[in-house]
Amino acid sequence: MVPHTGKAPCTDTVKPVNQPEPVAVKEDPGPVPLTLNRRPVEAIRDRWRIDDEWWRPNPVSRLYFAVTLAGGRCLVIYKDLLTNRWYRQPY
Amino acid sequence: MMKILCILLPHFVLTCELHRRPGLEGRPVVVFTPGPGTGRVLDFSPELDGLEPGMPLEQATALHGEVETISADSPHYREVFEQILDNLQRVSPLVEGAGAGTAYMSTEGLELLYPETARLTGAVRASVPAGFEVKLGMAAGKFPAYLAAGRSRPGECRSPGSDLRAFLKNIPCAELPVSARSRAKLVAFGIKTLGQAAAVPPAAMEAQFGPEGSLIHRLAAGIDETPLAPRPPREIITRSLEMESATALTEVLLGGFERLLLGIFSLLEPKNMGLSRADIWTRALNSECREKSVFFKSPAMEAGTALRRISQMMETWPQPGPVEFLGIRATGLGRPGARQKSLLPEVRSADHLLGEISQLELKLGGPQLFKFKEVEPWSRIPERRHVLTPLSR
Repeated sequence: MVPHTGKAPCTDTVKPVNQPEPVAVKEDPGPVPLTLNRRPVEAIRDRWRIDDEWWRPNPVSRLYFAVTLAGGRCLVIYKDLLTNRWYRQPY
Repeated sequence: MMKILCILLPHFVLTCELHRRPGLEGRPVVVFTPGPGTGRVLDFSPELDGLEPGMPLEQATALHGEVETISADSPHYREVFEQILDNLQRVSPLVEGAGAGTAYMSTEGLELLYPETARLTGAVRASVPAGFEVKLGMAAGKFPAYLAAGRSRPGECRSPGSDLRAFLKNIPCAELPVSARSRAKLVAFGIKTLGQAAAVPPAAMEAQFGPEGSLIHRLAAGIDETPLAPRPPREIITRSLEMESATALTEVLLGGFERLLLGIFSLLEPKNMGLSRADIWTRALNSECREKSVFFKSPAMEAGTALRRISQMMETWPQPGPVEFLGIRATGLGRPGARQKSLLPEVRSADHLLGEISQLELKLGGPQLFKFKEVEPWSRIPERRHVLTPLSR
């Protein structure tokens, strides 16, 4: 058996889940996504905005879109209104 | 409308004995069941007036001195009747046996097979072995069908007809299937026929006779809604043997039972079936029969197990004399019950697993296995809701 080192467990061993992934989106001035990774957006099923954690150094301000791509695939994407970057949101 | 056919076999027990002992033909015979004193009358020759089933044998022999008395062989009568019921079930699957010599059959669904009543009754008569008198009655309920059968002529299937009340009017109340106390009370009230009983308001009948009063009133009016309880198809294995020499020694009798059990289990083993109930019987040199049922909590799957149970039972089952014949009827067959195994065969397996996971973590320098945990399920930011935490924490 390997001897126990006696060290305390580290909190950085906690791993995040469902982290957003950067995506390439072509948008119109709305902003409304027109293509996602060069695939046309066929429909926008829903849209909402969250503004949170304003008390933190890195607040959260996002504009969400639930989209349907050509081919039928459904995704949730958002535009980070602070960095103007687009991400895909897994659940 | 569904009709019920009642099949009566008058003097069934006596006829069974006459089949086995043709020498008794034409002689006055009384079949009795052994009991306290000299026993009770079970059946008797029709020409012996004044006898009734249940009468003490002493009383019967006092009335008719020159009768031949025979000790009842109930297992044999039961076997014969079961065979008749098996035959009747080939005519209709809905057959109910209501005591030795009486059966009810539902005619529901038989219209295509037997368009005429005569064909149906012909098939029923053909199901009964020759030598037994068969009386048939058909009605909407069991009791009226029974009364009609009792009044049918040879070769006839009697029906109460369209006017049921007229048919029942003069039938004596003694034929009601109620307690002797209620029958005596009816006579005391002067109610001697079913017509008189039907004329009494039901409330008055219940006030005097309790719950039986309601039954008396309904039956007297010809209303019998008792459902037919069909006999389930069953497999019965019967084995018997004649001892080389009559004996009262328990060890020898057990040896005989062991032989019979080996024969029975040789049929059951290929089907993975066991014995859940067995009726064992013995017949002594003096023709007295003894019968007892043996039940097994869970089906006995081998002869040794069944024999141990029979051996225990025989310690408190005295025989009337040296036993000449013995037999077993396997009336309850079954399969061994399933057993639910523990879902956690090793109680400490979770502890062992966590120990192994900690060892892996120390060896590789960090946690390798994680679990999904809710942290802020209420958060509007999806990635804040859950995290992966090390399995060993």
